[in-house]
This record gives sequence, C-alpha cells and structure tokens, in this order.
Amino acid sequence: MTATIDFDAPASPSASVAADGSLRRIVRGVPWPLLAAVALFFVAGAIGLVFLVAPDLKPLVFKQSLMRAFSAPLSRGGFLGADQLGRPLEWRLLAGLGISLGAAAAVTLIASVLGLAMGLLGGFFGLTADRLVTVVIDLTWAYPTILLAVVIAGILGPGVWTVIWALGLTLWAALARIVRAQVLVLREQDFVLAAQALGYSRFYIATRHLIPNLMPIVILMATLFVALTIIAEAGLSFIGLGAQSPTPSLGKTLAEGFSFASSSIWPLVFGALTMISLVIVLNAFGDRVRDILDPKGRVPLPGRRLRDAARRAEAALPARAVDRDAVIAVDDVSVAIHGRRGATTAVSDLSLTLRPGQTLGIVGESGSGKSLSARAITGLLPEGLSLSGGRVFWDGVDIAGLPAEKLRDRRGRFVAMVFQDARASLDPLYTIGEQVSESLAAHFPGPRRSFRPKVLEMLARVGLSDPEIFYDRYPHQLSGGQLQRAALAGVLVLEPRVLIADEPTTGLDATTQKKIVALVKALQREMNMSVIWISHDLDLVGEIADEIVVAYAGQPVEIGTVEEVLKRPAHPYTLGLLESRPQATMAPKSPLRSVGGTVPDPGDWPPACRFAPRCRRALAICGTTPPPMELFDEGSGRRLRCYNPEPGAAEAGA
Amino acid sequence: MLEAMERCPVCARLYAIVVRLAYSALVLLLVAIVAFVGLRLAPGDVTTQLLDPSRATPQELAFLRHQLGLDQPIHIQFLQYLAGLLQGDLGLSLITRETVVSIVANAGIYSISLAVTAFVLIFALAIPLGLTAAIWRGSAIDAAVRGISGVMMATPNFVLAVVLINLLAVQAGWLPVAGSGSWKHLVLPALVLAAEPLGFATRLVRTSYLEQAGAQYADAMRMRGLSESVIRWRHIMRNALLPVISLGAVQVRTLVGYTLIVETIFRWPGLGKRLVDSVLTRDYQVAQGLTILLAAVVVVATLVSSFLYRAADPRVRDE
Repeated sequence: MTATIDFDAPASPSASVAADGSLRRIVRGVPWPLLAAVALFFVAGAIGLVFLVAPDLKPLVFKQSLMRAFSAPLSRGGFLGADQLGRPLEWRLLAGLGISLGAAAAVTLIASVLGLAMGLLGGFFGLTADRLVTVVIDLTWAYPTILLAVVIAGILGPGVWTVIWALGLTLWAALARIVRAQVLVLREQDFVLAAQALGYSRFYIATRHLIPNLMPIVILMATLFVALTIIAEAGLSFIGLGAQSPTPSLGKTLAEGFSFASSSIWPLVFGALTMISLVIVLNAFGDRVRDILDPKGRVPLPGRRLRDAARRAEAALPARAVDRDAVIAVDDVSVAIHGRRGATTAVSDLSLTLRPGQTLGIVGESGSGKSLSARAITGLLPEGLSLSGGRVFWDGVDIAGLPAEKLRDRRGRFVAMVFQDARASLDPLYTIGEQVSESLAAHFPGPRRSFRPKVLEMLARVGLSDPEIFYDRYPHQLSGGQLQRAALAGVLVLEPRVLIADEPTTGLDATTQKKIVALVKALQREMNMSVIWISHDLDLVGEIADEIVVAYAGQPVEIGTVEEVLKRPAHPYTLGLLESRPQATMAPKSPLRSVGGTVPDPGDWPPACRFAPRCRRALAICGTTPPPMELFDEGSGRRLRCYNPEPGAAEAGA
Repeated sequence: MLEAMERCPVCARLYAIVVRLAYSALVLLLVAIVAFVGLRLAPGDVTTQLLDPSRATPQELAFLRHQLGLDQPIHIQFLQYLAGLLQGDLGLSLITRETVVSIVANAGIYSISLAVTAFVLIFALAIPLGLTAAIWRGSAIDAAVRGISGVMMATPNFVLAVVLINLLAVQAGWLPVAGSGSWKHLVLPALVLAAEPLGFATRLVRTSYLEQAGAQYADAMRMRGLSESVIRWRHIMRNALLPVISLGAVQVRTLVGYTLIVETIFRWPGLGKRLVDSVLTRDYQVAQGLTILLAAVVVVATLVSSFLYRAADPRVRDE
C-alpha cells in the first residue's frame, strides 16, 4: 500500500510534458477494454452509493433485501448468495465498491491537493518553506499508513473516516516529493523566468503556469492512490480499525468473509475476486497512463538484431569489386526499423568509401539518417533496428562474415565511436581511469590495473593535464569539455583505424568546440586515423573534412570533396543548407534563407525524389522516378542524386 | 569554514554525516511529538479506563490525574515523557501493568524474526526474478514473472493468508494454521508478509535493469569492444541495483505497517498485534510507546539506506 510508492523515484515523468490534452491523450492511449473495465467498476460503485443514500430504491433491483444467512449462490432466487446477516452478496459488493471507491476518491482528493500544495510550497516559495516541507515529508515518511491509522483510530475511533485520513495524510508525501523535484526543473524554464521578470506574483505563476504542467504527474499518482486505498482499506478493516459493521465496505465484506469462511466460503471468494480484479485493472490502467505521460520510460520490445534472411542470402553472393585501398567501404546499405507494424526503412542506398587518414563529413538536418548511417558502419545498430540490405567492409572484409567474437574484438580497435552526450556515454559509477582501462582490458590480456601507465599517458594526450588526478575522478566531477576528452581517451587509447564522431562538439561552448576539433585533428595525424565526422554544422565539417556526404531522408544525395560541395553545391538541398546558415560575408540585414518544411519521417518518404516536395527546382520527373546516384563530375569524383542540379555547380563541373 | 571544507574533503564528508544524523534526531523528536499529542487528542483519558467514571468520585479522579501527572501542562508532560524515553523508559501499560519495555522485550523478538525473514525473502527472490524477467524480456518467463507480481500486488494479505492456510495448513497439513512456537509457525506469516512488497520489488528491479540496459553508456561500451558480460555484470547491473538500496528503506516501512495486519491474522505475538490490541482497548501508553518505537525503526532504516546509497553512488557522495 502506501509504502509501495517509491519515494525516491528517480524516473519521474519529464517536466516538459504539457498538461494540454493529457486527459484526452490518456483516454485515447488506453486500450478500450481496459478503459471500459475501469468505467464499469466506477459505475457499479456509483450505483452502490446511490443505494446506500436511498435504500428505498433497493427493492426495485434486488428481488429480496434479506435472505437466509449464508445462502449459497444461485439458491432461492439469490444470485451470488448471502452473507452472515442474510444480505444478498451482489448488493454488498455493489455497496462495497461504492464505499471503497468513494473513500478512494476522498483520499485522492486530500492527497492530491496536499501533495500539490506542499510540493509547490517547497519548490517555489523559498528556502525556509522548502526546509519546512522537507521536514514534514520526512516526518510523514516515518509513519507507515497503517501505523498512522492506529494513531488516528485512537482519536476518531475505528471507521471509514479513519481510513481516509490515515491514507490521505500519508500518501500526499509521495506526490509532494515528485512535484517539488519537478518544480525545481520547471522554475528554471523560460516561461517561468519570463513571468517572474514581468513581475507576476509567485502565487499567480504557481497557479497559472506551474500547476497545468504538473497535472500529468498528479493524474498518474491519483491512479496509484485509488488502488492503494482499496487495498489499505481492506487491511485496516480486517484488523478492526476500518469500516465497522454494518458498513458494507469492500474490505469489511472480505474481513467478515474471512471470519465466517467456515460457514460459507462464497462471501470471501466473491469479495476477493472483486477486489483483486479491481486492483489489477487499476494497476494496469496506471501503468498505461505512465507510458502515455512519460514515453521515455517505455522500453521498446526486443528487435531482431542484424541479419535478416535476405541479408544472409545476399552475403553469399560473390563480393562486388571493392576499393582495396579503402579502410571502410559501404555498399548499398539499408537499415530497417522493426516496429509493431512491420519494418520501415530508415536508411537506404548508402554507399561510400573511406581511405586511410581521410576525414569524411556526413551532414544533414535531424532525421536525415546521418547517425544511423554511421552506426550501420560499426555493425552495431540500436535495438529494434537492423541492416536490411547491402554490405559493410572493414579493410576489405565483409563484416557480415565475421564471427561475433572477432567482430567485438575489432570493434574498438578498428572502428570506434564517440557520441554527442559524453556524460551519458560514461558509466557514472566508475572513475575515468577505470573506464579507460576497461577499453584496454577488453582487447589485451592482463589485469585492469596493469594498464594504468598507458591510460595516464592517454589522458595526458587528450589534454587532461594532471592525469593522475583525472584518473580517479568520476564523470560527474568533470566539465562538458573534460568529459568529451575523457570519452575520446576511452576510445583512442585503442588507437583505432577509424574514429566515428557523432556530433561530439554539439552542446559545448564555441571555445571548447574549437579545442576539441583541434585535438581530434592532432591525434588523427599522430595515429594516422581516418575520421567520420557527423554534424549538422556545415562550417565545422568544411573545416575538418576532406569529403562530404550530404544526407537527406535516409539517403546520401550528394557526395564530393569539401571544395566542390561547399563552394559549388549541386544538389538543391545542399544549397539550401548552405544558404540557411549565417555568414560573415553576408550583406548586413540580408535575410537568412531556409529550406521550407521538415524532413519527412521514415515511412512517409515521397515515392521518387525524397526532397522533391521541398525543392525549388523540382521537375515533373522528380515526382515519378527515383533519381539514381550518378557520377556528376569526372575530375573530382563528385556523385549526385538529382535530375535538375543547381546551375552554378554544373558550369564549374563541366 | 567553507574554505576549510574545500581543503579537507574528509572533514566535509564527516560534516555531512553529522548533519544527517542530527536531522534524523530531529525527525525522531517530531515523530514522538506527533504520537504523544495525537493520542492525547483521543476522547477521555486513562483515568476513565482505570476508574469507572460513573462510580468514582471527582476527587478520586482528580487524585489519580495528579498521581499520573495528567494535571500538568501538556508540554511539561511531554518533556517528562521524553526524559523517560531518553533513559529507555517507553511508559507503562495502565491496564496490564506491564512496562512497555518488557512488552518490547517479549514481543520484539517475534516481530523481528518475522520481519527479517520476510525482508530476506523479498530481496532474495525479487532481485533474481526481476533480473531474469528483464534479461529475457518479452519471453514466457518475463510474462509469468510480471503476471505473478501483478497478482501479488493486487491481493490483500489476508486473502492470500486464507488461500495459503487452506492449501498448506488445512489441506496438506504441512504447516500450523496460526500461533507461534516453532519455525514452522513462521513460514506462512513470513510468506504472506513478503508477498505484496515482493511483487513490487520484482517489478522495480525489472524496470530498473531495462532502463539501464537502454542507457547510452552501454552502447558506448559496445562500441569500444567491451564484452556483453562485462557490460551487463559490471555496469548495467550495478547501476540497475542502485534503486534497490532505497527500496530497502521503502520495504522496511512497508513491513512495519504490514506486521500489524499479518500478526493479527496469524495471532503472531509480536509488536504489531500488541499495538493493534492496545488501540482497541484504549491502552494509550502502550500504543504511544510502540508507535514511537516502530516509527523510529523506519527513521533508522531510512538513515541507514541513505548512508549505503552514499557509499554506492559517487554522485551522492559529493553532494
């Protein structure tokens, strides 16, 4: 019961969930049989309450208001039988649902109002209020519901109201803790800061801006409170502190069924079935509501990892001519997302080569498939995705043919990857030194500690001066730039041939960005490493890359040298990207141009040219026949997927 | 002062521990106040329990009140009670004439054996079950574990008690129906006490593992060529089991509440049953003493779990 709420719930729903339509989303998102079951219990409870308030109505529905005590089900006109006082069981259960759900509603009201108010008070009304609220919450925590019920029963005497107050006065603390934590996040957000700057009172901001954003969590906790009340009421009635005879609450029905089980088992059986099914339905409803309000917490179903039948068959074919110089060659790769409604292609027609020491930039808007393309190269796609076609060669070897253990060993030593969020890519519970050592321990024999000198050297090389200190630091003790250096150390200590950098500087300040870029370039030279740098920042990629792949809607649309692609873009999308960024050479006050619209999601791709609907230069054929990737410029080797390239590029290329 | 803290991390940590201890003492004091004042709000006082008000003269009642110190202002009474508490005096049953300390001495061992058995049962089962379900997510095992824990969470303990008593005690005759005296008497109450928290803990462990398995650090480690077993056992597992530490305190709190019910069902002569009895017979001195004691157990468990968490999670250590 109360104690089953995790007070320290670390995974609370994100603060950004807007209240708008959260009720509508719940009604839409919960499967209808579940919704109907919840509704059924509440309607039954309402009917039960009506009968309790107006007993005269009872004979209209029940043939007999009294039967012989302990009548069996289906005997003498009774349906479920009767209890020890001869009351028909169906009537008792209806009334019991009424009282129990009524009590649950009262508890939910008390706990929600109190929890919301105290949470807001603690999070938004100053430090003194916060300390006070924390003490009251911790005091409340010390009293488990049933223990508090004992105290309250001492004051009020046993009864339904004792149950209601005992639950209401303990459950609120769980909500208050979560609300307080959310308010601490919310109060730093722009709309709250703006309202404060405009001079609105705290009370106004709390009621107008904060409470609407807190409603989803209140709704979620409320569904929990109802289920908890039902169970707790039963327990308290059982030990004599809850509903008193003849009040026919669900718990009292069960408790009396227990006492009289030797005379008739049926009141207990039907009572238990009603209560267990009610609580299961409520818990299932609560789980669904949590999924809807906090989709992040939902864990996807397992996807098939790699290797479909089609892919196996293809791998058996003799290899096409592969560039023998290439460190990495990707041949017509596609990636599929496995969802509930079958597979959707997320990346297709990906072909590229990477030569030793070369830097390849992959650019595109979010949703263009650039990260997935990179992951396909490593042979390790996120769960739920798989390579649905094509081949990836590392040093001329098709990785589909490599045994898993060999692939694992080469991963890290041959190709390695750093991520955008360095903090998330490190385990918070181990020191930097331990984690960098693990990279070595995964590939070389020897105890983890024996790699210390090598690790210290690497930490120094990535610019963490005073490596002895950083070795023993935990990730949370490092700044953003230091974290990315640490992540790089974990990867580069293996001296991989290829480094894939997935927007590793996004989210860092401009100075730190430059330093990280310079660091990677320097280490690349030292280690003669090839680099694939993924970014949405064309200027950045222009600075470091030799060759650029422009990706759009899961496909490369233009591949060429940096000079060609950035100076004389051929694809209208490339030009669009270039025009949409601010430049120092621009005339003052000239407007930035942007590509209208957004990248379509996988599954919604236009049938022919995927860019056609947003393209200024689209022709009739662009909507009917998919454009092939063709050599555009013999000299530089630029390839292009377009029927109607930008004229500037064509002239220069010819 | 702050500068000194920065220069000496050990002092800073010691300071944090002292603050935490002092805070728990404050909460304990408030716990005692709530129980003391709360039970003073009850209608009537002990004098009406000891002497029949319809027959006793007002003088007799006043004398008794004076003897018991009930004519003093409430804060004086509380301070006297608190002084007693600090000397290990939890009060005196005015009905059975036992000291509360002797009640605790007699009944405590029963409650502790029951709660500890349930506590061990919960974690010994919840962790392997939750992890198994998570690792083979979507399998039949997973579905079974989730289904059973769902039913466990939805079943009131006395309903489970009836089922188990009928099956294991009445039908099979393996175990006694109720009472105390041997380890066999302990089995059913411990199972019933553990059931609901066990269902909850299993689901928490499962969700926690799945959350960590989907974390980016696991992917980043695969990219560095770390083996699945190192990633799973050294990293995902350790992160996934962190919430279990705070779950420990949650479960102590749950068990403290549930012993009141389960001990009543099985007529198990522990503190929970004595507490319920004392409220129903209006033996407020006993109710007050036992309430404070049980709440103190929760406060201490929370304190211990916060220290364990501090030891296990470097992020908390630096706060």
